[in-house]
Amino acid sequence: MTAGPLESRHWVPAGHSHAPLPSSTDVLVIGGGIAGTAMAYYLARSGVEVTLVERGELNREASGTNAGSFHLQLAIHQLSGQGAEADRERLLDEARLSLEAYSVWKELGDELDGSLDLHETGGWMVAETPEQVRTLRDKYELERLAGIETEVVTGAELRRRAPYLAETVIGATYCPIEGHANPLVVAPLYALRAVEHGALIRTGTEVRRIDVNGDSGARRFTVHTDAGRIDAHRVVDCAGAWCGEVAAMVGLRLPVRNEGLHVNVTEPRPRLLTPMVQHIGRRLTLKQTDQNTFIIGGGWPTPDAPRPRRYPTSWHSAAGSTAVAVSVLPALADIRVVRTWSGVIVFTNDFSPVVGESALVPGFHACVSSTGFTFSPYFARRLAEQMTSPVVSPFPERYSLDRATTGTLRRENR
Amino acid sequence: MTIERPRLPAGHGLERGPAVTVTVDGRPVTAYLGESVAAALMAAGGLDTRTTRGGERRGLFCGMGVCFDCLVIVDGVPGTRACVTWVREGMDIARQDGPGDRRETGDGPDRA
Amino acid sequence: MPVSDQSIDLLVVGGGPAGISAARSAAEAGLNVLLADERPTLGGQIYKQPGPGFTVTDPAAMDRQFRQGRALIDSLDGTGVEVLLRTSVVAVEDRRVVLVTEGSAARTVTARRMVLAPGAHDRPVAFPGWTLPGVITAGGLQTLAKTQRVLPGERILFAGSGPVALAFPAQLAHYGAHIVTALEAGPAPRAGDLMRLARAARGNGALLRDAARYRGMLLRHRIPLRYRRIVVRAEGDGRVERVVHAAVDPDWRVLPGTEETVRADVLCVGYGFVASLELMRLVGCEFDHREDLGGHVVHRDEWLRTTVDGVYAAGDGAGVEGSFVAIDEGRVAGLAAAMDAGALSAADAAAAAAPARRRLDRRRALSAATARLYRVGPGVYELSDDDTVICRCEAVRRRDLAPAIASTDDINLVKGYTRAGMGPCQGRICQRQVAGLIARHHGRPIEEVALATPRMPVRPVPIGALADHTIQGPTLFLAEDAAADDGTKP
Repeated sequence: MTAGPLESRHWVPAGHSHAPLPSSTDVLVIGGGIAGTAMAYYLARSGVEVTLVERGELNREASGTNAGSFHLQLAIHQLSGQGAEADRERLLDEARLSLEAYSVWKELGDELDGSLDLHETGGWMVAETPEQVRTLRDKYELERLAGIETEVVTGAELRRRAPYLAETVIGATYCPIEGHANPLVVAPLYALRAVEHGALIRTGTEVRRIDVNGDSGARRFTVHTDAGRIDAHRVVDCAGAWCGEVAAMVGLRLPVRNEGLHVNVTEPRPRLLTPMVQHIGRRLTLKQTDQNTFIIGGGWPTPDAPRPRRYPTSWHSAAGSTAVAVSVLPALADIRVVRTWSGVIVFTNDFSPVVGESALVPGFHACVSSTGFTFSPYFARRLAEQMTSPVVSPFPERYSLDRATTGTLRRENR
Repeated sequence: MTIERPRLPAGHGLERGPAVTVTVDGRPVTAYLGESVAAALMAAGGLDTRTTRGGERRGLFCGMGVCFDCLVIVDGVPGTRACVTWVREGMDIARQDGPGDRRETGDGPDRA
Repeated sequence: MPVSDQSIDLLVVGGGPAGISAARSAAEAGLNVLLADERPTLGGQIYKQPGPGFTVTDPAAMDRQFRQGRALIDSLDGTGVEVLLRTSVVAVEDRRVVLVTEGSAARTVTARRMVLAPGAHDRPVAFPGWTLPGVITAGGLQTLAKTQRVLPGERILFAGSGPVALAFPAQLAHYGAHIVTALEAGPAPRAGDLMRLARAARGNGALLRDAARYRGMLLRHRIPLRYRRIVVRAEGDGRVERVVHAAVDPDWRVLPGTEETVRADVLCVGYGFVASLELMRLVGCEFDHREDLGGHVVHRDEWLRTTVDGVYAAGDGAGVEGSFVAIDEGRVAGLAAAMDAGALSAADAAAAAAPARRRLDRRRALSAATARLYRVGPGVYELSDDDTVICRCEAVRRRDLAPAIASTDDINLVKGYTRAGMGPCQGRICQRQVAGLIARHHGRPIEEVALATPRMPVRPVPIGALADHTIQGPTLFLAEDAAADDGTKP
């Protein structure tokens, strides 16, 4: 593994990504985030002719603006409202999946022959009330069933092991295999390796319209972009927060919405905190990075803005999220926030990802998930396997692209 | 009062504020109210304020709070701009190593 | 959102000549005005006042800038302008402005209008050795000498261009500094320049007399002033020990074989100034490009309104033209805010602004006359080598930037790949230079390289000051969130 310093790494040259769009391709991947670049990589590695189009630059949205954490502890507080049993099943499934996703991550640096700044730091999920501690214990039981190693830590042992946590934190679960990687380098490295395997990447290329040509041959789709037209046998929608717009071009409705999330980053300080810290009852994710800065997020909203403007950040969210952070980690008080940003994240209303091939529009695929940084390498690899070998879909029905498309296909836009 | 270089003697219509004692890298040093931490450090000998992670010395550059290069540890708080922080009696000033460690002792001001 | 505890007609950001003058004229027209400045004293960088604690024993013996500044500051007496010192504007959301006063919690004010007068700072110029302790900007060294009476070196070499190339070495010498040489990257004045100057002299006597006085001071202190020379390298072990300079062509590109090495312990660099853009960029103002005015120059109409409703810009922050222009622009902006608020009729505002506008016209005629002398050559952005640190905060070298720049012309992406611009200065020092490298690599003019997305806080804010414990967090991602949205939101 060549773990060179960040600065000396190389990226897909502009001469490649600004070249003309080819007239046809087997697979057209739409979206240059982690899902899209991973799709391009796994397909190209298998010898599939693949072209990736991205309307802006690679990795500029959620894939590059998330905090780079691997979340393995169950988001047990995120309940779908479909009943305890359904939620329990979904959470267990998600837990097993996250372990598989994490195993892909652990090999990824070697696979891509580059450093992803991946660190298995461990992670706390903290509780400040007896009720939150009870929820932690429920979570622990589920995690045990799923095979995720966690432990509930309270009292003097918690003080001893996490002296930096505030006295108000009365309990926490610890998961030793949580950690983070550098979101700024993962998708660009996937892209570089994809190109080395023969994939074409075209940035500054926006998909405007998709014609479904009604045959199953090489020209199943004609995709119109602002940089010209390209015929494709198959399409993979990896447009993240904007995947619904792409799917709508072929008449599918995806059960997704997007939200801007606020993130704060501080000046660097000597190492204070190694594990990630989350909160079972409040919106918080907190970690100290390789650069010694602290990143504070946890799902605080930012207002949206029409493209091409970036989503603005929000003072309300900055003041609220840092209040949670400093109440859990009091040593943050004199550390300065130097920058904030907003990442636009896709959410599915039923908390399940959208991965696989549409039965309603054969040849149209999607690879979209909310916790996309953690899951995209895994989903992209599995979907590429499905697309390159005659296996049945490895994905459960809950992931279906067609689940929110009711009645006849909506083709009013065509 | 004796004013040693690099402090200029009083004159041109201006008098220094009262003398105060601050510590610089653990050593008591006389400074004058109205002086910036950067000025006090220079007067104490040494143009550098911090060392980067890569081990390079840095000092006051823009002198007006823009560049964040003259970072020092003031009363325990790293990342403090020496050029826009004003001395107080008893202030503890330390040159900063990397993200905020106090510079190792024995490697004091290097003014020749 | 914390409760907004104050509502005002006008917030003026910046307590230099433009800000003071804007605050005064708006307050005199009846507006309720708050003036915020980061420093502990008013006057800005140009009219720097001594540190609080120093005593002015003889104002007559202080320099002219001090006296002009003192008079300007005193002119706020009795106007009702509320002044907040050591206070930064860190965020603006619509009409709500977040202020952080040193040592206090952040607070918001609602300002119906804003005059942005943030001033300027020295144009950052990267060259090998520019991060060595002892390399200090002209503004920084002047602050030390004038307000702290500290001179950090025994042998100071001054390198720069424009009006400061005369003024700063002369002023420093006046305070007892030993200036070994002063270098001016621009050309020596020729007969044609002098004639243009003479024609533009009307109404600009004070400025021209200053220039002549500074020239005389250099002669008197036997400071050699050398034209068309630039610093190519500073050398030394942990601090400046030697400075290498060389001759340049009219574009300030170094002529090979002309290097000279000088022993010096301080290198003072002053290649003009660039406007502080961060607040204007944050609120979404549009910009033009004028390298001679500092590069990005906020777009304004004749009443100094920016393209953002209710936001005005004045002084060096809106194009570097010096303190006299700043005072008059501040007056026009303050009157414009009062007029737009309905406190002044259009006719009264026009009449009140007329003398300032006449003076502004004369100053700009003088600037036009000196344009050839003070033009900033593109070579100033080409002095770095592969090993030169470009981003001082994150210690990113030019060679580290190269692969990123080869892959994209998007400065945001270059920032992500290399961390250049991610440090506490928020790219204020390196961003223009990174943009210059991108422009050169991709063969485009620098003004076409968009700057990185502006983000709050505009200044670093301690979490203890930022955090608001009264804010109730949004619910976690519960079913209600999903149910509230039918999935059609694009």
